[in-house]
Amino acid sequence: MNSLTCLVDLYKCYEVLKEESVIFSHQGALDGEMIDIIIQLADKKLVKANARVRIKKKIINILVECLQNSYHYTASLPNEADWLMIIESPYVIVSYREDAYYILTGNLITRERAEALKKRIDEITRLDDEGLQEHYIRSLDKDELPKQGGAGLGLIDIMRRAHHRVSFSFEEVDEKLSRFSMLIKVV
Amino acid sequence: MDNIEIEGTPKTPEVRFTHESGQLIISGRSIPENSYQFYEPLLTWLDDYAQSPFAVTLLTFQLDYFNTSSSMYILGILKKLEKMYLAGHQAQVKWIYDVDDEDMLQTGEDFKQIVKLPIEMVEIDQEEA
Repeated sequence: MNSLTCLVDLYKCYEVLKEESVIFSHQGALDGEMIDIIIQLADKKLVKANARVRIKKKIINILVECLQNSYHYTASLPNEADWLMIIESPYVIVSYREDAYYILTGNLITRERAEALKKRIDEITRLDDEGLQEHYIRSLDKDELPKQGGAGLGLIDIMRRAHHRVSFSFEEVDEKLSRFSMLIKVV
Repeated sequence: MDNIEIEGTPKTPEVRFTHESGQLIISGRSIPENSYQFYEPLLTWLDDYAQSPFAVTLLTFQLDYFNTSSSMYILGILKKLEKMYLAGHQAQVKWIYDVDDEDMLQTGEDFKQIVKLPIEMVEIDQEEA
């Protein structure tokens, strides 16, 4: 591929981002500093997009949970064969369409992790508002405080803040890895 | 005992814990990756404070954002205060939230459901402030 074709392709990509009303996007490894920058960027972009304070707060809080979930997962991995692929895989896109904001986010995970996550998601998505609230309180009110992460509260918190408007997908990438994605609608 | 004075950062809240006045204030953002590192010293301070608390302890939260691991530690702080309260010391909590922040209101209500403490919900309008 020559450099001109490459530029044309990149421009097409930019056009797609514009057409899809993408407010901002990020792809690549996450660390504390990077999460900080993404959150600050999201904050500024949402203010510029005239998002209401209620919506902006919800989106920022959901983004923090999503990005930190990815960060804690990747930070816990042993530095083995697929490590770099997983580390570099997190992505997030925030867009606006027809009176709603959408957060699309995901990352590569091991197939083993995917199975455990599917079970947890299955448990959470079955719950109605009341059930989710009870589950949240039970998970929050632990005698022992977590030394890392939010001890599994993140997904429940996202479901609550988004009023259940969350869809999940798992796509098998190869015999070891799956791509986990979440689409969250905020209205 | 020493008071705690921590300036806020984009990820961690401002903290003012004053032994001589019983005023304990946490405000700003609480979204650190490692909540344990930030909150553990505050919990330890509260253990010491509980040995000889001020006549009335007023704990005030005014948070813009917080993550789930912080919420577990905030509950940890409330439980320390609850213990003092149930032992006969006067204590009060103010949970200040923005009028547009329904999730912050909900979290305050959740804490009220869990701990036996007088928690006052205080609504403010940051846009008008």
